[in-house]
Amino acid sequence: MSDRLLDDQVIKTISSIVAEALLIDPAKIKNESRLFYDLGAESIDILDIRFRIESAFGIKINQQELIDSLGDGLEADQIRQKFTVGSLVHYVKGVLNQKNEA
Amino acid sequence: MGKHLTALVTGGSRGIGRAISLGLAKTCASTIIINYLENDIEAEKTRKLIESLNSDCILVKANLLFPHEIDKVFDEVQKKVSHLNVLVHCAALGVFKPLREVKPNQWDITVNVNARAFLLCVQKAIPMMKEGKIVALSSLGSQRFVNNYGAMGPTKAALESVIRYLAVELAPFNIQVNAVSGGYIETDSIRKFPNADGLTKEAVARTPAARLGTPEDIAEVVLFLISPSARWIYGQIIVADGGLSLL
Repeated sequence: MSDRLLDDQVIKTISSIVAEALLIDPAKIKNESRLFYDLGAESIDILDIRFRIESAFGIKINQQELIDSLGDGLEADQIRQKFTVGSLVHYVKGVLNQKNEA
Repeated sequence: MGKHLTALVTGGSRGIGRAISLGLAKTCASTIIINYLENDIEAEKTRKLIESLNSDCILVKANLLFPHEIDKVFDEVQKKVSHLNVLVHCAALGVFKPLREVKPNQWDITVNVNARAFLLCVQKAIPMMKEGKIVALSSLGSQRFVNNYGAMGPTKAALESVIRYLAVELAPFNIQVNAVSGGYIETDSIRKFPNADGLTKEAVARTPAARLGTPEDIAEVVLFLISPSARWIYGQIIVADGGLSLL
């Protein structure tokens, strides 16, 4: 699969998972949408989204790694501000690439 | 008689689950299998504490929300031990908010980890128990209104009903099933409530024993239910709450 196709598939799958978990229209989900502030996610929704992504892609998401991927030494609110659909897609693509290389 | 029991503790790496695991290691269990969701560091810490008490510890990381992961836990258990004497279900997950605001996915997670996972674990454990003790953790919110506990409370009520049905169904197999229901316990979970500090102060003020419960307070009751002294107790929800529910 080409990188472009993989990217499209990851974006589509994650958008659909986020929409299903949060009961929102997939069309409202943008790359820059912040899960907490724009899409109204709560902590348990993030867990739900994470579990669904793990099932869909056959991967394990390490919560600390995911937080670290947003930047160094961030406070809780900064993490919430920076946690976008795009950052989640980026992290998942990284995990998938590592898995494919292994 | 020494330590001779084999125990599986779900959610056993932190908080009340850790206190129970350590209590088992101190008193009666030679092997303790700990299931945990995520925190490798805390799980490893618990393993070391158990080993320092001269018991074996096996860690199994799995998400009990999913039936196939529960299968994975028991595949691991069967690989490592020949039988189980004790199952303690401490794993819990949920959302702390008013029930009127709970969304479908939040409800599903809460009920599936707190009640369904217990049932599925018991179903998998039965063939490994010639006789045994099963204990689950409940809470006062199953029977009474607790602010922001609207999703958790009903799932704990379901758990308590499951306890009573299983107690009857499993009695002929020499398996006892009971639960311990605590009040406010000093764990990480209490920090997840909105206004956790206010809630803690209020709980202490309302509790006749004038403090929050500790994980060890609950662990002691679980250990009693596992002991031969509890041989005539079937399908009961033992309340250990410093008197909170009396008022």
